[in-house]
Formats: sequence, C-alpha cells, structure tokens
Amino acid sequence: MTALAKYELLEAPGLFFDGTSAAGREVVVKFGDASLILMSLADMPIAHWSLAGLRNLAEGEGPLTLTPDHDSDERLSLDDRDMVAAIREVCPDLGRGRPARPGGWRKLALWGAAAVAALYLIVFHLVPALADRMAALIPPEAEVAMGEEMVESFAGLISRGEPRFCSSPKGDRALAAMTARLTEGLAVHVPLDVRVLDHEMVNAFALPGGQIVLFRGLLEASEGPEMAAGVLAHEIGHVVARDPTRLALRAAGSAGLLGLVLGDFTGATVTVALSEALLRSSYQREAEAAADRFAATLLTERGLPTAPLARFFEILKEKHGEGPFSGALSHLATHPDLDGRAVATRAADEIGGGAFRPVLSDQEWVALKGVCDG
Amino acid sequence: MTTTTMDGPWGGGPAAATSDRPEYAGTRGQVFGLALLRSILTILTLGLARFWMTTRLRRHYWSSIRVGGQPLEYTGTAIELFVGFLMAVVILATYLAFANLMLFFIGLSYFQGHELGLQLPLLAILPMTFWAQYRAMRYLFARTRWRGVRFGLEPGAWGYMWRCLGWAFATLFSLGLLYPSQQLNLSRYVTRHMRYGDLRFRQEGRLWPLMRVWLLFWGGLVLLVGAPALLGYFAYVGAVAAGDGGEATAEAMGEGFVAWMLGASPLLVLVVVGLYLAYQVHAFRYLHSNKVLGGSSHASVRLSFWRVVGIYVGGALVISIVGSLIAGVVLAIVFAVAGADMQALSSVFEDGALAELLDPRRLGALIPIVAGYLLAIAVFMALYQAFITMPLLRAAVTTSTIHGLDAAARARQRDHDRQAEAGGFADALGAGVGPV
Repeated sequence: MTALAKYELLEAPGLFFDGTSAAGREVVVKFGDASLILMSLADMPIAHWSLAGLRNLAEGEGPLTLTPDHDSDERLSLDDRDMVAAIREVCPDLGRGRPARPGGWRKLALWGAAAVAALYLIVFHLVPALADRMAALIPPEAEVAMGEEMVESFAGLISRGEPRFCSSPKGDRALAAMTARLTEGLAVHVPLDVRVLDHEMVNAFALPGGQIVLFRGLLEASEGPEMAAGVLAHEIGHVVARDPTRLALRAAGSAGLLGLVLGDFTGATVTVALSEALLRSSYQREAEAAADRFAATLLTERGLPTAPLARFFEILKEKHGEGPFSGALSHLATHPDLDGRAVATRAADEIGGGAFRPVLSDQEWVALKGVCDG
Repeated sequence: MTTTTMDGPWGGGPAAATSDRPEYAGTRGQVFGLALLRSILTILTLGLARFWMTTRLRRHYWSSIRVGGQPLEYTGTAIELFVGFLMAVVILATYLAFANLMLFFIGLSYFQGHELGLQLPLLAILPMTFWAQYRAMRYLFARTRWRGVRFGLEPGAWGYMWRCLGWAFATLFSLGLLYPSQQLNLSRYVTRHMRYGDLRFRQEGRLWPLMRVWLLFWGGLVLLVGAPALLGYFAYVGAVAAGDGGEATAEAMGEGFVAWMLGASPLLVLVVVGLYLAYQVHAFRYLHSNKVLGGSSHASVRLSFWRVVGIYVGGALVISIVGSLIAGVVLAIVFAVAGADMQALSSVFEDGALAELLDPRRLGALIPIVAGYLLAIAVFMALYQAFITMPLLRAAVTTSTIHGLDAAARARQRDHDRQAEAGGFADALGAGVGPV
C-alpha cells in the first residue's frame, strides 16, 4: 500500500455508529499504518480499522458506508469526496461480499438431499399407496354417479360437441351378449355400463363407476368379434382394478407438488405441465400392462383366444407406427410399446388354431358393427 | 437532507430540525442490468437460481434508500433463502399430499365429483399461506439494518394466521364491506410486533378515514354491477314464473342484459380497477402515516394515486413494446426454420399429443419458439423490476417525510434473529413478500 504515503496527511469528517445503538457520533478519519483511524472531535482515538478487512456496504460510486469486517455492527459513513476516492484507491477489496459460511453450503446440501428424498418417497410411494387404498373406499353409488357425469363430458370433449351414443335393438342385444360372455359370474364392484360412441377413432376407454365406451371406429376396424371382445376384456380389467379412480386420486395427490418445487417464476407453468404429463404417463403404463394381463386371463377362462387381441395391437402399430416412442422416448408414451404387448398377449393364447365357441354369431357381429346405423 | 448528529452515544445534542426527506439513489438501468442476467440464469436452472436474484435485488433496493443520509442495509443471503425453501418443500410436500388426497377423496365420495367438491384441496393451502407470509415478513425485517441497528418482527405467525382467517370470513360474509376493518386490524397486529432495535412500532389511526373511501368504491361497485345484476335476475325469475310468453320475455331480457354488460364492460372494468387502486393507495398513505416508532417518530406518506397509475401505464407500455419486438424476432426465425411445416406445427396444438412434440421434424420449429418464450419471460421479469417495482419504490420513498428522527437514534441494538426459515414457505406457496 505505497499509495498510503500520498494520503498520510488526509483527514475527513465522518459519522460513526458503534453498533450498540443508533446514535451517531461525529469523528475525524485519517490513515494510519495499514489502518484507518477514527478520532473523536476531542482528538481521542476511538477505533483502528485494518485496511485489509475494510468493507463498503453502500452501492454505487457515491458515499461510503464502511464496516471493519462483515461480522461487525459498527458503521462509518463518509461522504468527503477526497477521502472516499482515497479509500477506494487504497483498498481493492472494498466491495467484496461476505464470504459464504462453510457450514452454509453443507447445510444446503443436506436439506437438498432431504428434499429430493422426501419428494421421491411421496410421489412414487406414499401417494400411490394412499390413492389405491382410498379408491377402494369410495362408495359404489358415488363412483357410479361420478362416472355417468364424466362419460358425458369426456365423450363431449372427444366429439367436440354433443356426443352421440349408438343404439339399435339388434346391436344392443349383441353388445349385451358379448358383455355377458365375458362377465358371467365375474365379481365386479359396480355394474358395467357398456356403450358405443359414434366416432371414427379406433379406441375404447373406461371411466369410474363401470362406464366403458367403445368407439365405432374400433368395431369397424376389428377383424372379427373376438378382437372387439379382447379390447372389451382389457377395459373391464381397468374397471375391476378401479384404475380411473386410482389414477385421478394419484394425480390429485401429486398435484401442486411440482409447482411447489419450481417456485412461482412464470416459466414454471410450461415445465410443470410437462412434468405432470410425464408422471401421469408413468402411472398409466403400469395400469395398461396390468389390464393386458387381466384381459388375457379373462379371455382364456371364457374359452376365447387371445391371438385376436394381439393382432389388434399389431394393427394399431401398423396404423400409427411407433413414431418417436421406441426405446428411450417410450417413457413419454402413455401406452407401453405395442410390439411387447402383442407378444405377451399372443403368448397367453391357449387355443391357437383350435376350435372354440365364438363370442358372437355372424348375424350378431354384423348387427353390432352396424349399431350406429340404426 | 438535515440530520441530527450528536456528540455522545446518548444523543445529548440539540433537538434541531428533525424532519427528514428520505432519498432514493438507484437507477432503472442498474435494476435492469442486475435483473436481466439473473432472470436468465433463474430460468435456465428451472428456478433454482432465483434466490440469488432475489437477494441481489433486495440488497440493491435497500441500499438505494437513504434515511437521514444513511442507507438501509439488507443482510440476508441466498443460501438462507434456499435452505428455508428446501425445509418448506419437505414439510409442505408431505402435508399437501395428505391434505389433497383427503380432500379430493371427500369431494369424490360425498360431492360425487361435483366441480365445487374438487376445489376442496384449496382449503388446505389457504391458512398456511397466511402463516408463511408472516414468517417471510419476519425474515425481511430481521435482515434489515439502519445505522447498524437491526429491525425485527417478534414471533407471531400463528396469531397472524388465525386473525387473517377470521377477517377473511368476516369480509366474505359482509360481501366485502368489512375489508378496511380487516386491513386496519391486521396492520395493527403486525405493527405491534415490529421493532427497530429495542424500540417498538405502533399503528395508530381509526377505521372511518379508511371506511369512508372504501364505501365510495364499494358503493360504486354495488350500483354499477351488483344492483343491475340482482334486479335483472329477479325480473328474469319473475318472467319465467309468469308462465307462457314469460320465457320469451325472460330470454329477451337476458340477451339485453348480456349485451349491456358486454358493451359497457371494458369501461366498467377500467373504472372498477381504478377505484380499487385509488383506495389501496389511500390506505397505504393512511396506514403508513399513522405508524409511530418509539413513541414520537412518524412518517407522512404522500404517494399520489396518479403517480402510481402513471408508473403502471408507463411500465405496461414499455413491456408491451419490447414484448412485440421479441415476438416479431421469434416469428421471423420460426418462419425461416420451419417454413412450410407450420401446418404440422399447428396440428400439434390441436391434438395436444405430448409425444408428437418430440418428432424431430417439429423440433426444428419448436426450439426457437421455446427459447424465445423463455427469453421473453426473463426480459419481462427484468423490465417489470426496472419499470414498475423500482419506480413504485422510489415514488413511495421520495414522497415521504420522516418526523422526529432523533427518537429513532435512541434505539439499542437487537440480537441476530436466528429464525432459519427465511420465507421459504411463502416462496413455495407462491405467496412471496417484499418487492422481489
């Protein structure tokens, strides 16, 4: 600090706060050896502050608010231009911030780990377990009432307007026959209500309360009644497992947790939507796999082949292709890879090319396929 | 600026001119510069870096404010904020998971999935938000210093929470009439707990000065919106009950009312929002001018309604101009990259199929849009700080006068408040406190 020699005789008035009260005290400030000396107006030294530890707490280029080190409560206010310029020149570390306490980063790492662990346990273990228990506790009447409401709104959403459910005397009888073949003696917690929606999509879905909706497109694309029956068996699997209710509860349980973590900065909405979609899709894939297994078992028990259902997955794949779903990106698909499902379903087939009692007669199948024309 | 300086620690000097006009010493450019880089970092780190942005901006704002020639200090750290937030996540996540599940289950079972029943989970959050806000305020106070002496807020979060809940219900059931009462009482509670060193704050003032301005707003709202709506509703019901021919009249009335609301609504909204803002500025002025420190130190707050309006309008103008510029640039890039593939892109938004977004053909067009969107958010956040938050703060500071500042000089130092929570709960619940 050879510049000090220049400032040996420099003196300036300042305002000193001793940190024990808010009362200020006029002082005279000058340089000592490697230190700043604060003198009272009566020329008595009050404090020596080491220049190396001197820190400025004020912002910008104007007056200084000095402190001997960041842990001190003492303050010195200086606005004399020459003194301010001198101190800035002589103390390069003036603007350096408070050093982070070493314990601080460790504490952060610990709580960070705790937070990650807690979130993982909650989202992937606690919420699913609770949701599954609770789904079984919902009174069946409440579930049926909810399902009936949801069918209207879901179907309306897909049809983009008033949903039209198909009905014809022969078609309805055929559908009832198919359902009966699969569910005779089956213990289901709610009565099944199977309908056909007038829409060209090749799809079917199950909602709470035993509501199952088959699409007209599915019936038209089916190569025979056993294929449609396979899809119906799959949806019945969802109903028996209470999947729609469980999934809704799981979503409710984890709702908002992601928003919690990402804070309230505006870009979060996109990330949250993405993450919640990811979560939902992983829940659903397990449910789909379980429903596949249920369908295979049910079909076999009722003396029906599972090969047609396997063929259905292959048709789906041909129609839509795997797209970017294969391999790593399959995490984002709500339905597990169609190849795997076809193979697993075909493997469960016990009939092969053998004889079996068809699920519908030819006339019944024609009537069902034409249920939307009636 | 006139300050009182004393010879010794007990302030034995002359009780000279003790009126002080606080100053604000920062610029919009400084705020924008500090905020922009940190906003971008915040977005890139999915929000993790926001604690550093908050801390830096608070330090800048606090030290830009000078009272009696001495700047305020903010001594909080980003790590304290971060740790506080993590603590909140652990506790809140558990509480929320249970509460949401329970309430959703009740909604499903007993309300049969009815819309209102599904909103029950909100009940879980509301009380926590109040509690969290008090703790966040406490942290802000405890980390503020002036002349080296600390401010503080005594513990009292639970009391605050119950009072907030109680007053919220009172205001709800009085259809909003009791709102000034809510404000005054909550302010009294919080102010009673505020400290500067060992000196206490007190909220003086009575209800009527607030209520008489509120009645203007509330009465206006009732007249302009409530009464016509109510009258229309009763007339509609009456017409329907009157039998045949009644339905036609009822429909015509309904259509007429809707047309009136649509036609008048932009102006109506403007008037309502303006009156509400005018009341809030009045309440701000009144409540803060009636806070007393140490028995004799108080402020006169003179912030004007039109100045506030000017700041909001000016800020909105700047933000929308910059926003349009950014949008224009992004669109230009998207057209250059995607070209004829716009058709494919728009169909994605129609079906909403998430997985289709990852199709490599569409990614090319999507990346500039996402990048532009995120950049725009960062720029908006920085512009908001620079053109709305900072000017409002500056206006509030520079239009105030502090009387009896020498009384404040008697304050003895306070101990460091070890509360580690640092407002993490409020942050996690999206109910943050303070300018940033």
